[in-house]
Amino acid sequence: MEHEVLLDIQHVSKSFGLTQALKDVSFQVKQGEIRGIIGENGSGKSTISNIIAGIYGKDEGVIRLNGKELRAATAVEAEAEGIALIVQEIGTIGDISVASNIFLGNEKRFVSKGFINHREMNREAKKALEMIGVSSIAPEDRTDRYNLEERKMIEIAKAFYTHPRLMIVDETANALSSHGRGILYAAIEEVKKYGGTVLFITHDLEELIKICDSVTILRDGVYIDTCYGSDMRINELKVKMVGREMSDHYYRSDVEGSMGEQVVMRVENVFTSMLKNVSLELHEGEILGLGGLSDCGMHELGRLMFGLDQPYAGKVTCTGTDQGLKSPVQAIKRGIGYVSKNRDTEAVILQDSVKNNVCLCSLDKISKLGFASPVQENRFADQWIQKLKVKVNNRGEYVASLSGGNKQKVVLAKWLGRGSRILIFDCPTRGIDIGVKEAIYHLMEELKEQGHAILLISEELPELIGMSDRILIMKDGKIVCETMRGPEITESLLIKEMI
Amino acid sequence: MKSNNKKKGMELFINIFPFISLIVVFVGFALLSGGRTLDITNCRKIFEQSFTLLLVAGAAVFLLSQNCLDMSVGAVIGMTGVVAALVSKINIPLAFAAALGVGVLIGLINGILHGVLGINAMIATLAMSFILRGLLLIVCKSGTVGIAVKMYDLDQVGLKMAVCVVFLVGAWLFFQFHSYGKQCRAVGAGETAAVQSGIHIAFIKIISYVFMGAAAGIAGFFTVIRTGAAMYNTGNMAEFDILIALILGGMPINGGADSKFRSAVIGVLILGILNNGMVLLGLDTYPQLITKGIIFILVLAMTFTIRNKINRDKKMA
Ligand SMILES: Nc1ncnc2c1ncn2[C@@H]1O[C@H](COP(=O)(O)OP(=O)(O)OP(=O)(O)O)[C@@H](O)[C@H]1O
Ligand SMILES: [Mg+2]
Repeated sequence: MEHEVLLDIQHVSKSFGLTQALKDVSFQVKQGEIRGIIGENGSGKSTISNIIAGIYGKDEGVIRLNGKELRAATAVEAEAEGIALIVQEIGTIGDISVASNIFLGNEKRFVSKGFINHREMNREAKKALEMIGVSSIAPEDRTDRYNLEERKMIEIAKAFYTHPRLMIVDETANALSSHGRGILYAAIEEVKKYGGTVLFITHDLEELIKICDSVTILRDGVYIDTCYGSDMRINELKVKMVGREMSDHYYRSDVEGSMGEQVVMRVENVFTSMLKNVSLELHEGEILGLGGLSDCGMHELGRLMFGLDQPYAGKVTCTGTDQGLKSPVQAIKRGIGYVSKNRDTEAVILQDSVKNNVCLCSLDKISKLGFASPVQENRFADQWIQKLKVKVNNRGEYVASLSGGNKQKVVLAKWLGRGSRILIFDCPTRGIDIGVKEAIYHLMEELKEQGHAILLISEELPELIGMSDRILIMKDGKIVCETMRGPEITESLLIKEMI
Repeated sequence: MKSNNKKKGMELFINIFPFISLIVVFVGFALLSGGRTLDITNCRKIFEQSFTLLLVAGAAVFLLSQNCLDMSVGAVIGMTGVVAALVSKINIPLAFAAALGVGVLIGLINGILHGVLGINAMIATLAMSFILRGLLLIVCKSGTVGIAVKMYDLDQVGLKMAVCVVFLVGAWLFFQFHSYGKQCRAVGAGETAAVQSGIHIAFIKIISYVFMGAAAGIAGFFTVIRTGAAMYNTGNMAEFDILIALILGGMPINGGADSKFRSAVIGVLILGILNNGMVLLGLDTYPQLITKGIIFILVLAMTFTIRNKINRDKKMA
C-alpha cells in the first residue's frame, strides 16, 4: 500500500494566451509521500496545482488519481475526489463567517427543514479548527476580522477537515510566522500518517528539505527532475531551478552593521490598540530589521509609519518637520514607500495593467503639469520591468494574470521607480524565488549605500539576521530587544526574545 | 488553447459592441424611415437634442470610472436652469456665471458628503436631488420661469458645436492623459491599493463631483435657452439618460481600468439616434420609455455577464 502511485500526471500542457505555463509535464507521486514542488516565479507551480484541484482546465494530457482518470471540472468536484488545495493568495471570503468559509459549498450537511443550522455548523467548525490546534479563532466571527496568518489557519483547517487523499499547499508557509508554520507542518505530517499525499510548494529550500520526502523541479513550465531523500541538496536544487550556478550566500557579506548619522524617521511613544509605548529611530543608510510573532504588532507599526493608521497617543515624524504623519499622501510626499504584506488587495491593483501599476505612484514625476505622454510612461514602466525582471508578455497585461512572485516584483518596481528615500518593506520577499530574492537583497544593499533608510519587517529570521544593521524584536505590542548586526546573533537567540 | 481564443473573442466583442450598436441604430432607422433620419435638418435636431447630454455624460465618465454615481444631475440642470433664467434678466454673461457657480457649489456639497463624510454616493446624491426638486417647486410656483428675450440670440448651432468640441476634447485629454483621469480609473479598479499608492481619494472625489456639477450648470444654461423657460421638472431623468448612454457606449458598470472616454460620445449618439428615430416613426412616449428600458437591461445584462466571464480566469490566478 505504501508504494502505490496516487497521483499520476501524464503529458499535461496549459497555456494562457501567449504564455505557455506548462509544457508536457509528467510525474508521479506515491501514497503517503510528501512531495515538494519548486521552481522560479512563473514556472507553473500554481498552474499545475490549480489544474489538479479543478480550478483551471488543462489543454492536453491526463491526470489519474489512484489509477482512475480525474475529470473534476470544479473545485467542489475535486474536493469530492479527496483533493484539498490551500491557495497561494487569500482563499477565504472576507464578509462571511469563519464557519461558512470552512464549509463553503458543503452547507447542505447542516440543512434541516430548509434552513442551515448555524449552531451545528459553528460547532463543527470549532472542531475543525481544534483538530489543527487553533483555538484563538471564533467560528461565528466575520472572516475579515482576522489577519492574513489567521485566515491561512482557517484554510488549513478547512483542508484538513475534509480528510483529503491529496492535499496541495501552494506557497503558504512564507505568509506564516514560525508558530503558524508549526501548525501547518503538523497538519502535513498527520496527512502523511494516515496514508494521504501532500504536494508542498515553497521557495524556501531549507524548509523543503526538512519536511519533504522528495522534490520535483519545474523550470519555465517544463518538468526538469525529481530528487528523493538524501539526493535533495540545496545547491544542486538551486542549479536545477535556475539553470545556472548560484552564489552560496545571498545575504550581505559585511559582518558589522553601519548607518548614517542622521535620523530620517522617528516614532515616539506611540500607543494604538495593538502597540504599547513604541519608540524607534530609523537612520539614513540603515536597514532596520523588525521581527516577532505575527500578532506582536510589527505589521501594525509598519502601517502606522506610512500614515495608514493614526496612534491614540505619540507621534510619527520625519526629518524636517515636527508634524505627525497624517495620511499616505503625506507619507509619500515625505519620501516614504510602503510594501504591504497583503499584496493582492493593498499593494497592487489586480484589474489594471502592469504599466499603470508601476506608474501609479510616480505620475507626478513622469508628467508635466499632470499630463504624461504615453511614450514617457511606457519608457518608465519598461525600465522598471526590466530592472526587476518582471516576467510579463507586455506591459499592458493585467497584474491579475501574473504569478505570485511577479506580482511582488511589480510592487517593488512601483516604489523603487518612485525613488522613495524611506522604504517600509513588510515581508518584501514573500513568494519570491531565490534568483529574484538574491537580486532584491543586492538592491537593498545598493539602496542602503545610496543613503536610503529601510525598515524590513519580516517573519523570516535568516533574512532579518542576514540583512539588518540593527534588529528590533517585538512582543505583545512592545519592543523587547534591540541588537546590532554581529556574528554572534543567531536564530535561537531571537526566538527566545519573541516568545 | 480553445478557451483562450474564446476569451479573446469575447474581449474583442465587448470592445466593438458599441460601434456595432451605433451602426445598427443608424442604418436601421435610416431604412425604417425611408431616409428621413439622414436629412440635414434632422441631423441638426439630433445634435441639438443630444448636446446637453453630451456635456453631462462626458463629466460623468470621471465619476463612473471610479464606481461613483451622481443621481442629482437632472435636478442640478433644473436648478441651474432656473437660476440662469432669473439672472438673465439682469445680465446674460452673469447668468452663465451664476448657473456655473450654483452647479459647482452643489457638486462641492455632493463631493464632501461622499468623499469626506463617506456617505454612500447614490444615497447622498439622491437626497440632494430631492432637496433641489423641492426648492424648484417653491421657486417655480407659477409653473415656469421665462428667460430674457436677448438670451435667445445664443441659440445657435455653431456656438453649441464649439462648446461641445472644446469641452469634450478637453475632458478626453484629462481623462486619458492627465494624472487625474488615471487616478479616477485606479480608484475604480482598486480603492485600497489606490490609497496606498498615495492617491488622495477624497480630493479626487470632490473634484469629480465639482466637475459634474459644473457640466450640469452649463447644461442647465443651454437647456433653458432651447426651451425658453425653466420649470420644476427641467432636466428630469437626466441621470438615467447618462447611465443608459454610458452603458450603451461600452462603459463597465463598475468603472475601473477598462473605462473609456469614448463611451460617452458613442453612447449619447446611439441614444440620440434612437430617441429621434422612435419619434420619427411615430412611437408614443410610453412605448418609447419601455423600449429604452428594455434595451438598457439587455445591454447591461449582456456586457455584465461577458465581462465577468473574461475576468473570472484572471481572478482565479
Ligand atoms: N490566469 C492567468 N492568465 C494569464 N496568464 C497566467 C494566468 N495564471 C498564470 N499565468 C502565467 O502562467 C505562468 C505560470 O504561472 P504560475 O502562477 O503557475 O507560476 P508559479 O510557479 O506559481 O510562480 P510563483 O512562484 O511566482 O507563484 C506565468 O508566466 C503567469 O504569468
Ligand atoms: Mg504561484
